[in-house]
Amino acid sequence: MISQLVANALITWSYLALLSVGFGLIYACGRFFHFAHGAVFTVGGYAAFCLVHTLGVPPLVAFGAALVAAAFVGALLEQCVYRPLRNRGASDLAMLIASMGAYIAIQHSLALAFGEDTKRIDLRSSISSVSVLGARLTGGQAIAIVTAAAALCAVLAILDVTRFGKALRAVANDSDLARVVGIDRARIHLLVGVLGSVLAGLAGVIFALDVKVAPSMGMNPLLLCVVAVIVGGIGSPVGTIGSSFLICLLQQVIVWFLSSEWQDAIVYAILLVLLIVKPEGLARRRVRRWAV
Amino acid sequence: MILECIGLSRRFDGVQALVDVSMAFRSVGLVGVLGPNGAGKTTLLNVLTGFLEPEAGRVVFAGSDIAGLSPHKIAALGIRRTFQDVRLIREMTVMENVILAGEAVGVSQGYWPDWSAWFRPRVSKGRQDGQCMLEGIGLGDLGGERAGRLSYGQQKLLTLGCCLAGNSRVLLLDEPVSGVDPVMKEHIIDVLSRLRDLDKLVVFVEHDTDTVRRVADSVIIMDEGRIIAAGPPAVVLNRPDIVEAYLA
Amino acid sequence: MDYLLHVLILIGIYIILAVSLDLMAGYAGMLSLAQAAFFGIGAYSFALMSNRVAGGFLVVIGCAAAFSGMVGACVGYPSLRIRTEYFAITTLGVQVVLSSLFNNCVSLTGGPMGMTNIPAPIIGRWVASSKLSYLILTAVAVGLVIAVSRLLVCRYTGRVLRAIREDEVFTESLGINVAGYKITISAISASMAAVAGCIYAAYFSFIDPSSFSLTESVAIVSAVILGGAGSVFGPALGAALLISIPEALRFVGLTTATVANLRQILYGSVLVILMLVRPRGLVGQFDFGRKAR
Repeated sequence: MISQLVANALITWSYLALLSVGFGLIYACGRFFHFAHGAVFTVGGYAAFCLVHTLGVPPLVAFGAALVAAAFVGALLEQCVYRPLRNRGASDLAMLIASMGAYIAIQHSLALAFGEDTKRIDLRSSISSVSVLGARLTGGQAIAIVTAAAALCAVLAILDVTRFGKALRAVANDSDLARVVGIDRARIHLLVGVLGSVLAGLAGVIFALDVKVAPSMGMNPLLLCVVAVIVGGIGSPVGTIGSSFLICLLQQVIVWFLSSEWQDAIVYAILLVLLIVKPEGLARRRVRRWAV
Repeated sequence: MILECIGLSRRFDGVQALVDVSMAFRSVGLVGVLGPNGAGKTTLLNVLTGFLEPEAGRVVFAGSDIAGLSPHKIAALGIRRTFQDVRLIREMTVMENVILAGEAVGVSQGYWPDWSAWFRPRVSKGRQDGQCMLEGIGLGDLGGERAGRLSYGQQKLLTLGCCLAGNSRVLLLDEPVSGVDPVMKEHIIDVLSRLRDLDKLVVFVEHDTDTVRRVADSVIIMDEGRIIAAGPPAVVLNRPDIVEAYLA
Repeated sequence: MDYLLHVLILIGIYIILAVSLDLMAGYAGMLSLAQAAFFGIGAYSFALMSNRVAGGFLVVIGCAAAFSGMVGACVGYPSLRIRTEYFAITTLGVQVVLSSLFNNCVSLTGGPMGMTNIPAPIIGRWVASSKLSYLILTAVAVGLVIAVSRLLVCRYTGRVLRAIREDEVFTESLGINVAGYKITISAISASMAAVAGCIYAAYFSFIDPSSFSLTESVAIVSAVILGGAGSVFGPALGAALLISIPEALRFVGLTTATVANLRQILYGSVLVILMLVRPRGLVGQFDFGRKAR
């Protein structure tokens, strides 16, 4: 029973963690809420669906192409929307507003192009169900979990080891200092945008395989990932991975004991309480009333 | 003794910013506060004006305890301040800033907008008073300029003017001449010395000992959260240990 | 002709919503993504109270507005402790929680199926029955809301709000009770949105949660930003444009679904393009600020 709960949680974790880590990295670097991340997620799902079902492309190739599509949209947003805003000195609020607008515009453009109806990627594969420690998963779900875990490890490795990762952490830590040290911040923002979007695209593909493809598919996961990033600690991908799992587990518990309708509302209510009680996430020091 | 702090302590950003600070200020005069960076000077100002709560100790103003009150209540009681970073409403004009600074005086500050404020002939009188004050401090011609367009020195002078517009008995100024060009610096020093005639207590934090020497009636030296010396500038600033440790 | 009246009524309702949001977001600088939730609180309160509370239309509106105002004050309270963009996220959280409540408290709100048979307004012996009478009702409400809004912002309170928007710390140091103003303006904004909700519920006689969702909140934000934040008539202008343009599209022969999507694409693009090119909108005064120091 418990193992089934955990397994179900891992299934949703497989896309939520990817989405959240991407969102968290973009926030850590740019200090703004990249709402349109949800739209990139949706683009990933639709691209995979389109390639597999409409164009008959072999699944793995289609998924790779979906990641590219997601990366492209993310890069486009960074170059055409966020960078000009940043150069103009726009406030974080202005960037949030623009990002929201981009999300809505993209979501409804997809609805216009592909219709409102809910679809799903159906691979008719012969990978059989798996049973682990008393929990049942489909083969696809198991693969998704493993893929997500692998991708996350890769991201953590990139952050730790590569020059790009170090530069990213520098910009996230102190953007002005990073510039003084010679880091090209515009390039870092672009690369982080691409990296985050690839993660979002992968999350979108997993979601499309397991749940659905629909224009509004990104909204809920996006809101949950905001919760995950705030709970897990901004600037801590590992924390985000952990908090994503906690959220997924909490949702499964709520579904088990209450009903599935309340799983989102309760998570958002927790977010509200957190934001009110511990503003700026679970920052180490108490936020003062007056920012003097 | 119009303003007193007794045994103030406060941690800030991980360090003990104030350690058992006790001081009594006379009702009229200019007091300079000197000390190296991180000595706790600005923290002291923040605690006196309510922007930070002390972890221990009391602040007494005109006989009543004010520690723990909201900053706006303390400002309404008669303590006004400036900030280390120049804080102004840059999108409003100089005159609008001054009017706002003076308008809140006497306006009730409950949870509802002050409806009665609409019926007072406040703004026109406020404009006259404001113009008077601006001319007195040397910004008379700039009333219509957006505050954001002023030079750094002029902005600092304007923040001082906003304090004066509040008609408060006590002014706490955080670095009133720091970073300002020499001409404006002289002018501000002149304005400060004239404040003595207005029967106010002016406590100002500064880095520049020269200013303090010229203008202050008494000086306080702070270091690592404590007051280590207090007295007339001529005495304190010539003490060999002070000179060696902090002024050399 | 009937259709024109219908569009004008819609425009009136959205003008009230946009003006109410602008008080918070344009003047006090507190961007809220929950305005549609308060719209919904007003509508659902009206629907629930109309048959049970004696006193007629005005009493019911008053109660709905007061209730919404109290919730609004609670929502405004966190803004005292958190930065603007986090406050926006907080209101986002409020919006989705309330949307969930509208959808899930089926016994109270009828859930996704909504509530029907909401009675027409009765003021004294006047019963709103025709579209024209609803238009008159809406126009009166719009006039009142704009009058109250002008009263607030064209005087001392407006200066205070604009100062709070730019620098709360400085404003507090002038002796102004920043917390009081922020909470009060949140309450006033929520009350006005509730009034719009009451009119909406009465006019359509049917409400369901989809009209009070995050998408609608974003639409209201678009209206404020297009017309221009921080001005008396900017939000009204934005609301009028953003309602009438999609309605005009109906005549081009597109399907309802297409028009609905185009409407949202319009709202989203408005937000992006305006932030890039002209953040203060058509006639607005506030451009959502520069990067904080």
